[in-house]
Amino acid sequence: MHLPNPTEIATPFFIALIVAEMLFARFAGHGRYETRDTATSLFMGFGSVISGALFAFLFIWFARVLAPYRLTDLGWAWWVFVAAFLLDDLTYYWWHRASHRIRWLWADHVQHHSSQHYNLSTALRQPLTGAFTPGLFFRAPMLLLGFPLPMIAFVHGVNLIYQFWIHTETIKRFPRPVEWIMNTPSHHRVHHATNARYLDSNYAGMLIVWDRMFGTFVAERDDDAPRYGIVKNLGSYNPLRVAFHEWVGIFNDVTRARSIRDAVLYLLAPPGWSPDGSRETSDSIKRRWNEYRAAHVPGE
Amino acid sequence: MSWVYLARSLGGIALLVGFNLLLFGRVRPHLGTTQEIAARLTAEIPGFRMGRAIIGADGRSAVIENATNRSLYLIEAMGEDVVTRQLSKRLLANVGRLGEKLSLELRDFTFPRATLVAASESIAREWEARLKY
Repeated sequence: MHLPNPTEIATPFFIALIVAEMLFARFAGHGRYETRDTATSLFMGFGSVISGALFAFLFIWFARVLAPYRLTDLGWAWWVFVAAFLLDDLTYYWWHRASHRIRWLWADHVQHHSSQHYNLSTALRQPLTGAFTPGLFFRAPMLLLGFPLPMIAFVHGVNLIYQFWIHTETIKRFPRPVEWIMNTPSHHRVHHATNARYLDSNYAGMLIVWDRMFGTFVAERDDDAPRYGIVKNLGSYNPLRVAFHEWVGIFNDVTRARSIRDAVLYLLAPPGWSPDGSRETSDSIKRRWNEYRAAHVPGE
Repeated sequence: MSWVYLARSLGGIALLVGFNLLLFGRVRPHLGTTQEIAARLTAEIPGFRMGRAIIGADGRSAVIENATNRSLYLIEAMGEDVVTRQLSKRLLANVGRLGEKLSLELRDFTFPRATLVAASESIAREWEARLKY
């Protein structure tokens, strides 16, 4: 069965919605846009499409390697599509969680988080270096269960398109049932925030229920407005510096490591890990913040 | 993916960047007042208390002391936002001074240097000594 490329179909809608959000931000005062930040995000989106096309063969090769070990062939029934959407979303959750907790994966994913703005252009700030990570292995369960390869690519594309519109400050909150089940702008603002209470939370793609199930859900609070970006925000708009800054950091750390164990942990431990604990991880930031709150904020 | 799709995408990017510029103009990076800087750092750093500070004459860069533990932070305006680094010997590659102009070189791939012009040469000299220490 031939399925269309969802991203190609969605591109004109992305552009129209960004224009609409810019107008809303300018004239209603909700949301922020800055030219250089927008340009960086859009160029990274463009680069990511090219990089994805160049390295698509890896996914096809990986599927071929696993093909002999497929448990069955699930075919194209409607319920297989539904199952594919759900399983792809669950797989996305775990890939995304790992991308925040393992520095090798973070080196790629951090590119998406590197803007201090949160608008629809931020959604298009996509990484260029996914092919250099082991992220592909998260696709293995669906391939082994027998989902057709084009179906996996299609549902994954739809999932990513869903995530476009939630990168906005213009929508505050939806009615409770929606906020309980779906990933929404409110939940994803929390995910992009660097406030200590929000770090490492809300990894969902389409369904926020995964975060509720696995204990990573944090609700947005009106008394703690999200500050977007990363713990050490970047001092450059250059897309190449944005794309490679964490890879350079890993290279420097690994080549200067004093032992093989340290070198491996620089790659696989959470971002910010160091042998002497002198750098900050999201866990250490949260711990320090909680200690401070316990000591200085009444009622905490 | 076709060349037409790629060309259209580049056209779309040019359109959006141009539209952004038209609507919002160019932002002159500025840190704001001392109180605004303090508010930002207080939000970011648990227990931060504003200590001594040197703010560049152009209002783009500053070095701020956290009075709680005397640690130093370099803060630089980037568009409407700021970039902050806690200064340490490992991060600070070099500190130079020419008259009232202080130059900081950092071992940081995206934030390699910062320049501050102090109000006077004596203030710049004092901060140079502090940063080198």
